[in-house]
Amino acid sequence: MTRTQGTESTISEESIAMLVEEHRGWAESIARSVARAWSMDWREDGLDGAALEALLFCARRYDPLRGVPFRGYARKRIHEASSDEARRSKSWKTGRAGNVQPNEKAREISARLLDVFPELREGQLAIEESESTAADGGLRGAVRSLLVGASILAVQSDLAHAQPDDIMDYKKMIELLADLEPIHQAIIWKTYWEGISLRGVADEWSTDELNVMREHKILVQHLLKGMMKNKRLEPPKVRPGLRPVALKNKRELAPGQFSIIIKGRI
Amino acid sequence: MAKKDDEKKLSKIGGLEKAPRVIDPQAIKGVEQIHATNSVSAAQAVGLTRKRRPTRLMDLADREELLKIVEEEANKIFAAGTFPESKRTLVTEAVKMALDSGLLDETDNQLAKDDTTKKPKA
Repeated sequence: MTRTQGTESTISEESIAMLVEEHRGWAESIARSVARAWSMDWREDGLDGAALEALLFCARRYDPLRGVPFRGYARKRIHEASSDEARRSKSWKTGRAGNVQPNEKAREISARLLDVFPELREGQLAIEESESTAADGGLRGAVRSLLVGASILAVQSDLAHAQPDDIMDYKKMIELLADLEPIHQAIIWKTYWEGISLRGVADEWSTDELNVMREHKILVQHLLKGMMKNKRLEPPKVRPGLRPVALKNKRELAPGQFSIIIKGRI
Repeated sequence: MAKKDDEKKLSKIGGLEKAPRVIDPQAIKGVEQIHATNSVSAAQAVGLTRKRRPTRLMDLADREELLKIVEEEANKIFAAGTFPESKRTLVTEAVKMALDSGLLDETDNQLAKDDTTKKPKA
């Protein structure tokens, strides 16, 4: 997280100090949660310092006139700072002596999953509207989306270094992806392979971020169905919001990155 | 919808009647002093003000149930064999970690919930 030099604060130094003091324990609890998830030590791995630095950064930039509660404004940033620090720490790769270490790859995938589903940083699950009235409040549907997302990240992680035999393990997944419309393949490629946020993809295409987010949601649902039924399904059509982008970029987007992989390797 | 002209026509002109007493209007108040305006907050980018999806806030009390649901749903999704068996644990563990990292303990999260309803002081 960068800090802009000489950023003017909208509140007094005294108010900044009060904000930091009031929310310090809460910021530390965010660092502890990140450390717990990744079996790290929040102090020894420096997550406490990163969380407090982020808290101070947010306190300096906080504008109460915008009507957003401070914790709602700061939580994601503090979580990002804590998780970035965790990934920089020695124990991220080498582990801590005497502790049982979780799978290093699983940790890396989980860190990237937080970028694809940033609401997780705020302790939130995005619920499908159609499932919000379900008995579990849409919880299982949200978890399924995360599992699909993590599966795609696992494919990406392995394909980069895979031997031809290993690639065959993912043949079915890649076929599902290659069946998608070129623009849909591009959304998956940019988000999961290139690590661009959905908002970043929307900016690149000069379109409303909601167009990309809704498309991504549909793609995840489609891939989920394909994985559960283990068969190739009719790919989803491009929604009206994104059709102008698909048409405009037809030449650049076709034939689709996964279609190329399928032709070249499998 | 505009009424038809016929409906607007008066059937007859009545006689003169005494005008009803005018209730004294309230005394005209002096013009209030104009107060300084507050700064106008910057326009947000399109999309930011719209709710993307309903979300559900989780806390540590949900942890055991959530981790159990991850295992159950993973079993359902991967049962058909689309995904290599050797990678299933990897994916399941990754999702558990990502979820877990956002779960604050109840006290902190309750404070967070309270804070989201509390209007900030200027």
